[in-house]
Amino acid sequence: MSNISIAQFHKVFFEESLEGLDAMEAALLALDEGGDAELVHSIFRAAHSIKGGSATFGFPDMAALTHEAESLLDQVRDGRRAIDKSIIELMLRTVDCLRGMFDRAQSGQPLANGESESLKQQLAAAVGHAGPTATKVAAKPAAASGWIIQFRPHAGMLAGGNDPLRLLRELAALGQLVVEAQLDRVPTLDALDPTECHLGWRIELTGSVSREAIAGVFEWVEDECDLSIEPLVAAAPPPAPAVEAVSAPAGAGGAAGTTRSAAASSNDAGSVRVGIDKIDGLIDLVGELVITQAMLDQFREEFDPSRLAMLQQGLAQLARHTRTLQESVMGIRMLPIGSVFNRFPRLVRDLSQKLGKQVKLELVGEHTELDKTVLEKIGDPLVHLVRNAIDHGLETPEKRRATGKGDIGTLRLEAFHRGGSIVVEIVDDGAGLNREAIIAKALQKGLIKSGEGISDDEVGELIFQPGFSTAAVTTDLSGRGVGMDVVRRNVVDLGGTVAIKTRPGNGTTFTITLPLTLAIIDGLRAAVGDECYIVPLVSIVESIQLPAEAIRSVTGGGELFRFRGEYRPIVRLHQQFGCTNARQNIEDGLVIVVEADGNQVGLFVDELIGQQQAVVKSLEANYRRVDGISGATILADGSVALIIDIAGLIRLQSRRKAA
Amino acid sequence: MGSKNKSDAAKGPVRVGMPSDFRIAEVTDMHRQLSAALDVSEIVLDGGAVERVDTAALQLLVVFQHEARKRGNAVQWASASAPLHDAASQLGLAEVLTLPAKQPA
Repeated sequence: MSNISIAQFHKVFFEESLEGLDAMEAALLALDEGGDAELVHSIFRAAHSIKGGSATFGFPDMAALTHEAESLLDQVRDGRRAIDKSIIELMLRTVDCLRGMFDRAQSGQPLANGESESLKQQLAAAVGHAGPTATKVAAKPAAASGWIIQFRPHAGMLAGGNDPLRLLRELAALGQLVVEAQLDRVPTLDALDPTECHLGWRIELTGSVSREAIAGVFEWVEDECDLSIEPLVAAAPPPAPAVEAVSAPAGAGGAAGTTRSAAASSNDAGSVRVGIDKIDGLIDLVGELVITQAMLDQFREEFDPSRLAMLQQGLAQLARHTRTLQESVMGIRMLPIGSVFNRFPRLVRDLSQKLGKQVKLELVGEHTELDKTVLEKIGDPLVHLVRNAIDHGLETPEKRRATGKGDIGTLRLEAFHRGGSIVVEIVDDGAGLNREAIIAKALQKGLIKSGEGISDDEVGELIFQPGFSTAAVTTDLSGRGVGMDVVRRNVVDLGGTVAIKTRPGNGTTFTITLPLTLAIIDGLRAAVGDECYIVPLVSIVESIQLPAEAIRSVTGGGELFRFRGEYRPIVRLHQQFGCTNARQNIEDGLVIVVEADGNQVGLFVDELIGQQQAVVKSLEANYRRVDGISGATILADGSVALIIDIAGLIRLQSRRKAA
Repeated sequence: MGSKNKSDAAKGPVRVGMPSDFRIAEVTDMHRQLSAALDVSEIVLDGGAVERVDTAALQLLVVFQHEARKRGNAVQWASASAPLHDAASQLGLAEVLTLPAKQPA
């Protein structure tokens, strides 16, 4: 087992362990609310896998910490100790600490720090064998010419068919051994159960051996013994360079982490774990595609005009398969939003404890799938909104009682599909936005001229303005003035929108709408003068031709048209984007009614060319951000068409109206 | 196996022989024999026939030696096979077991 061969598994180990930690945390939280014994088992299993993995992959600090946690869990599992708040708290802190260790492992820093060492001691104290433990790991000077192995089999190891003799023979094959048997726990002959092991060993192994090689010997018995492997500090001659190179991880435990995680971080392009059903679906589709292609091939060989209909049918089939294939390939990047939701039970628990509020968290639609990129970036905005909801939205139990509500506030996170989008709603039943405070603040900041006639939704919009924060006291939770505007910007960067609805006294709802994928959109191609624009299909309500008399001009230069009983503004795209040779008369062109953030407008274009799938190319990456444009795409003839950002266009329009 | 009956043993040194396959499956039996042997002041251990041995067996011998020393029994080795020697030194137990010099192979 060389370093290189094992390093390639680190990524998987990290991912699995982090998932394990998530599972541990979730189970701990469930236990906190009075869960059953099965939860303890699942926590134990997660800790156990992390311990095993970290020992195998050469992260002894992590293994030592999880070992203590595991021992404590073992006592709980065996019923030797009742689970209580203090244990749950200790375990949650262990989970946090391990997350930190994984972070450091990935960036190649030493794993152990003051926090982890003190936590380890606390765990050990809780287990009941505080003091100098065999698994003490500390940073040591780098020069090591061998290893000191502390090996104490558990009583049941012999009966399990594992013989320390065999293990020591394997060790002897690695290098020079000095074996010292520890007989301190040997019972009297009468008390002896000869099938149980009461011996321990301190083994000095000299030679250029990697920690992994040693850990490998004990791989199958790591659950059945207490084991520590520490570098033997060379007292006399420094090791030869060759030795140094091979036993590079022999330095401090942290240095071992460095070597490997450097390799790991060099390819941090990320990975996705894909369900086998999705892969099978893809293989099926490729099969279909091959069949269709073979069919079309036949036409080419023996072309006969009478079979044109069949050829068309074949081409239609090809188009259908290509589309399904595309959807399936996109599906590979789709992950359930549950992975983001999972962090909230802990967050809510910690926050509500800190603020003395009682919060019931409801998670709905965890299985809703979202593009991995979107998923990774939506976490922070959601955390911010949840924090805000608990800090500012939900009231203390006393206040809730005073307003006739139950003591416990409800915070609901819900994800679902709507049209071509994913909608995430954060709903609280708290006090709602403080209209007066927001208007006062907006007046003070000069964002509005007067508070008269501003609707609740418009008040909501105000909090998205940069630098807006009404928190009387700036807490470390929220209210640092870098708030909602950052949330909105993050979401908009993902091609999404944030809307707010507030019901004074009854709570607030934030609605985040996100695109399913960032890579491809379905659009309608519209001609405007010499240019061609793509209007995202999801935003289109209807396309209509209007007679000139249907248009009402309003003072200030705006134009309105009546649509389904309501007046909507018209945006003349050629004016908006400065296109030449465009049609000027309403009756000569078409009006596409589009909707975003609950607002509808009519886009006036020359004509519709047809439906088209657009592979989105970022405008920012290639040029710069343009208001009202979300990106560009390349058409079949090689020309470039811009993709209209409907929400941005509507905002642009209302800003212009307000100005 | 080689152990004498307890009543006979009172007269002279008791000899405890070890089986050729002296591993965990045999230790319970040997435990009984060795415990019984402690009634006699002089005990002779014969490990000459041992071909296979494991940690459980050696641990039993260690515990037995401890016990015998504590009680003041005299324990001697008649012989110890090479596999027994090797295993004991591998586990760092050769000295504790006071094994005799290695037999020529």
